[in-house]
Parts: sequence; C-alpha cells; structure tokens
Amino acid sequence: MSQGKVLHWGLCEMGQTTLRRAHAEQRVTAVQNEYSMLWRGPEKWVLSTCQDLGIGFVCWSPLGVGFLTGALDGQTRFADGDIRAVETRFSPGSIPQNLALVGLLKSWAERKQATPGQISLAWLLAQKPWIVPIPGTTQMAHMVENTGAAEIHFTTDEIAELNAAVSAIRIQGMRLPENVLAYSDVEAPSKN
Amino acid sequence: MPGNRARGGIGRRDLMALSLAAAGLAAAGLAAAPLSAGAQVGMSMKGVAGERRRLGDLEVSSIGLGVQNMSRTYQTTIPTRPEMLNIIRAAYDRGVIFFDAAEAYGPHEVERILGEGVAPFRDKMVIASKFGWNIDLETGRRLQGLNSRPEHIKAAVDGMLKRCAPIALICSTSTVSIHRSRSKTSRVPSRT
Repeated sequence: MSQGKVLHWGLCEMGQTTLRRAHAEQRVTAVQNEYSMLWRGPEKWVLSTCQDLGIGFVCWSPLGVGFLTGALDGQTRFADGDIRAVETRFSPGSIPQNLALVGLLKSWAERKQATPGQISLAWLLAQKPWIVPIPGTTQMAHMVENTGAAEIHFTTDEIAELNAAVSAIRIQGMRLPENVLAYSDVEAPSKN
Repeated sequence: MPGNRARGGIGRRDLMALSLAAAGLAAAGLAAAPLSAGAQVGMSMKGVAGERRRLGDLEVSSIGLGVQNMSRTYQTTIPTRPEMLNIIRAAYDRGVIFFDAAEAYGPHEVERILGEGVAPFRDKMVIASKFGWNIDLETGRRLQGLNSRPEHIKAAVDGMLKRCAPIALICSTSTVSIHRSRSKTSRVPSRT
C-alpha cells in the first residue's frame, strides 16, 4: 500500500479479534463475507463491528449461489465439481424446507413487481447503507436483472415486515462443506 | 439483447460524476478497446445501478459484479469469453463500477478476463481481488494450503496489477493463516 499499488484493503470471513487488530494496524475499507437471506451469519457480530469501526461490508453469494432466484428446487442435482453439491443446505433433504424462503420471495416479487432475486438484493441493500452485494453471473439477462435491484426500495414498514418473515424461516443444512468452513471465522495467530 | 425480465430499465438515472480520479497506476497505456455491441446496447439503459455507496471512504456502485464464474461456472462449464467481456462492459454502462475477482478464480484467468473487460474504462473502476491461497505465482497452479507471507503477497499483488490493473481495493487477509480470508484486492480507480 505504501507503494500505491493497493489503494484499499479488507478481509474475508475473518475472526472478530483479527478484524479489530487489523483495523488498528491499517484502516480496513471493507469486509467480505457471505450474506443473504439464506445465510445471515454476519448479523451475529460482523455487521455491528463494521458499524462500530466505519468499515464497509461486501456480500458474497448475495443470491444464495442462485437459490434465491428460484433456480433450484427439490429435483435439482449438481455436477461433480459444483460446490453446491457438497453444501448440505442444497441436499435433497434440506431443499424442501429451505424453499419456504423462495416462496416468501416470490410473494414479495409479485407485490413489488420485481423478481425474487431482485427482492433478495434489495433486502440486503436495505439492511445498511454501507452494504454492497456483488452478485455474480455469466448471463447478460441475469446481470441486467441484478443491477435492476438498485431500483427497488422498501418503506420502513415493508422492511420490518420482510425482516420478520425472513427471520421466521429456519434454514436447514450447512452453507459450506466442513473443510472449507474451517477457514472461516478464524483468528490470525499473534505476531509473537 | 438483454432479457427484459428485470426491472432494470426503470428509473434510469445518470451516472454520478465519478470523483475517482485515475491513479497514477492507471495512467499509463490504457489503450481503449472498441466497445462491444453488448456494451452499446447497455448504454441506452445507463445508470440503473448508478447509485453510489461508501465502503469506508471508498465510493463504489451500490451493486457490484462478481466475475468468479467467468472462466468456469459452478456447473463446471466454460462460458464464451467474448460474451463475458460484453457483460462486464454492459454492467459498466448500467452504472456498475465495482468488480470483484480473486487470484484463486481460474486461478488467474478471471483476473485476465476482467482486465480485458474493463480495459476501455479501467481508470474509473474499483476492482477487488483477493489473495491468501497458496497459488504458484507463475503458473497459477494451486499448491497446498495458504500463503500470506509478506513476500508472497507483494508478488501476488504485482501479478494482479499486471492482469487487471488498475486496482483499487485489495482485500487481503492479513491473516497469514486464513483463507477465506484470502484477501481481496480491490483497487480503486485512479485518482487524480
């Protein structure tokens, strides 16, 4: 950074003490963690810590690896090598229960004249003004759809209602396989 | 043509003037590549994602574009490269100035695609990339474990700059031991 090559920096899926230590050492611009209606783990401590420290938050998999667009259902099976095949939240045993979230999204999509994916992204944007989702795609139509979510806004009452409805749905299964999850929420060793 | 199921065409607004100046880094040798047909189509819908947000003191579009799958999708297929460039450029035309990549995606190949995609306007971009996995700096081959040793990080960042400069934000993990904490690098647009 002192050479001007990196203008800002951040951390992904770090431990809380690590984030505070890092920020004290060199101001952290952003944290990037998984965050969506399907995985709300950052609500535990990450978002409040970011707020305390003035750090921005970037959401990876803001569409739940496609699940929140309605692209997966109980019949979906994954190719070997598709990370979703080893995420138990998408196993045949979990998907039927988790589809309650997609049902909720479809009803809000109708209400707001949007798509389920757009409701998912707009919900993230509505949580904090310093949250930025980075939906990925390899399809032009999906990029157009995703960027269109910036046009969807909720009233205070609407977001309270939607937050409550999302909170009422219990998600079954793990977001990542254990061997990958082992790298998340880990503290960096001390320098000494 | 992009599909029209999205709500993207509504409420277009002009891009906010970017206060991001080009950094000295970006200055040299930005040969402008011809815009793709896709990008030109996108121009008619300019600014849908033109709203800006702040990550710390870094200004980005309220919605970014993740490009992880542009070298290989979750389904393990390989997308058509010219279309990926079209999507990147059309996203920019819709107001997206924040792109998220990582050294590990590809590895290296996604950064190359992104660098080519943003070439016509890269002085206005915020590009985030990440390090942390132990990846051979020359071949891109994945080695065992993690590597956030200072000398490795410096060389990794130089590689990122070559592939997709200019960079604005690099998120990294200072955590030598964490991955997912692979850092992200992003770079902000150049600033004058």
